[in-house]
Amino acid sequence: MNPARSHSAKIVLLALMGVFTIAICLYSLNTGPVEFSSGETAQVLAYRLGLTSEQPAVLTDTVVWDLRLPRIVLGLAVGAGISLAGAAMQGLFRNPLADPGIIGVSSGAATGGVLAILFGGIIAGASAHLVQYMLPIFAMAGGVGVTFLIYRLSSIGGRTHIATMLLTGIAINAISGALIGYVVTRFADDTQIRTITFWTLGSLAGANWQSALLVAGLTLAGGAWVLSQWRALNAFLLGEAEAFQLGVNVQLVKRGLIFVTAAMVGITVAACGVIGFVGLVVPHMIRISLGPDHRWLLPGSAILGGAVLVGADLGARTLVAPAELQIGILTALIGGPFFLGLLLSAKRKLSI
Amino acid sequence: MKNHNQTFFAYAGVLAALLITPMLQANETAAPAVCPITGKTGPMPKNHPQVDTAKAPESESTRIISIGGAPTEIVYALGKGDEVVAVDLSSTYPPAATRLPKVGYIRQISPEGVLSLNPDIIVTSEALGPPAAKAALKRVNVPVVWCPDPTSPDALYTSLEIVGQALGEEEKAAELTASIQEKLTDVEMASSQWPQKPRIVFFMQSPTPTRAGKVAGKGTRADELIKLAGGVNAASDVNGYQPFALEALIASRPDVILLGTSVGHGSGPGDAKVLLGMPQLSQIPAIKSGRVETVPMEDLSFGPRLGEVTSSWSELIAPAPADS
Repeated sequence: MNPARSHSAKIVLLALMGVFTIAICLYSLNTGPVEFSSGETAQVLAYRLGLTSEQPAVLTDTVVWDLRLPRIVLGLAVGAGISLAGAAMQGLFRNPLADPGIIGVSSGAATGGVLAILFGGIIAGASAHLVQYMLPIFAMAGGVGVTFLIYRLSSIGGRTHIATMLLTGIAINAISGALIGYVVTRFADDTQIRTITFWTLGSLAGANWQSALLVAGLTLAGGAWVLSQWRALNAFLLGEAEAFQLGVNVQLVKRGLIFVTAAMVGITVAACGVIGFVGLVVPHMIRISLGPDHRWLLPGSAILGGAVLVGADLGARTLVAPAELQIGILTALIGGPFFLGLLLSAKRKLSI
Repeated sequence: MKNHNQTFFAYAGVLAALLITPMLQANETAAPAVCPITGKTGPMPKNHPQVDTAKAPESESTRIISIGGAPTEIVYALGKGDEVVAVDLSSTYPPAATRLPKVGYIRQISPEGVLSLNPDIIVTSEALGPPAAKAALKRVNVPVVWCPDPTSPDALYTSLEIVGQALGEEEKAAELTASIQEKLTDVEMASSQWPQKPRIVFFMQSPTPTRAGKVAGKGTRADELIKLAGGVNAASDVNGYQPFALEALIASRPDVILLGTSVGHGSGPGDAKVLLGMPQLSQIPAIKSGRVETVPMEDLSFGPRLGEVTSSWSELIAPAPADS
């Protein structure tokens, strides 16, 4: 960790990350199994944004505008959302191992989604219109419920018990796996739930403009509020009692953070399944480069998280082309060893 | 930090509004004709025609990508196998198709991957997924032939007709349809003479002493094929493919047990012997009379071999002369 960097150095680093993120988005937009020149890609953007009336080829237009760009927008939103949620949960639980995937929040959201598939129709009644909202709403409710559960179970006097937190995650992951398995065997004919891997490993393949803009809008709104809580999160690092002494409305901030971060994770899971380890790894990378101050940690996590997910999705789209990988395979492949390393280094300091 | 309360509720309100607004307009099935960002009208699908012939194949040799077991079999049966450049993982017949590059599995297709192989025409079925991939393929200007989901003889006839049209092999397609219909009628005539309809259980994965089997219930292609062959699905209480307990198997009293075999999926050829040797099952009619038969899983593709498959299944399940 290097908290000693100067203010301006941190701003420069953040700006560099922003530039890196934009660069990886542009590179991703121009890269895929179908090859175009960057000029053709630029033409699609220019045409779609109304800068030119010269119509691009339909194939180019479809691939760039309808296939790649919604995935990049969704990737940015999802990556920023789960990294921000990871950073905030690590601060809230005062535990470096908190990750929406590991402690069961994502699985809780997936469980909510599965329940929506099972009972959403009944709850929404005859209104076919309502049924489609059931999945995101239930997923958010599942995420929020599990976060509260973990908080209740593993907090003793404002301190989080690591073992309880991880064990809760194991239990929730098991329940979620069972329910998903049940839905898959019970309703195996439904095309949307036929692939069990969608929920367990995540994929951005379902992205369209509607889902991308919905997730992006919610992430922007929720993320902005989480960012605004950086002072409170810094105070939390000292302990809840100390935060209260510093004038933080502990209960309100805590509940607000739990609600907003878990809802952000929930909407992510509803749109693209469980994408593990990003929420764990990215905040740690930021902590190493920018230090533990949430003023830098939160925006840094959001920016780098977006870049990491867009990069991972680029890999998912191109590594086994013309077929495609689940993005969760890549994030777990990279994040898993990172998590092990983290556990080993934490073993010396903490008793797990 | 007094304002936390207000700030939080303001944000909660914005969140709720953002969540609800797009949902009120959400309609997955409608074609996104207008771009949500610029408000411009994009390239539109042409009212979802089953055959989109926006660009007729020009060169002698078209580059066909075939996605789905039945579509691939139809393309090969129409004599166009040489022009297929890629298939998906569910295209397991004929053997020549399995040696071609794969574009993934029909329910997990990457539209960009498909387009990158530069196809002149794509032949697939409505079973293609995920939904976003289907929507994308409906929008591009590569002709895509959308066959109905292959679950019935009628779907097969329609598929033959539209693929035949798209590939310029209408006559061959009509001949194939006629010969399939003829075979199915023959089978129906023959089986209507049987004293009673035999009770059949089809296992995609047969039970062993250590694991439950996976049975084909109502709504599966195996169920449809059993009916076409003149039998009754003894596991029709079950929906789709489900684990089937030994006790349920005993209670269903099948006259014949069919095991679907394939490499890496379904039962193996040795599983019939295992089933016949399980003492718990010895009282089942099918086991008593030794009628546990294996059939290749490809039989379930509902492709142009449906006539042959149905008559071979019918022979397998026909009541033994001693029974009648």
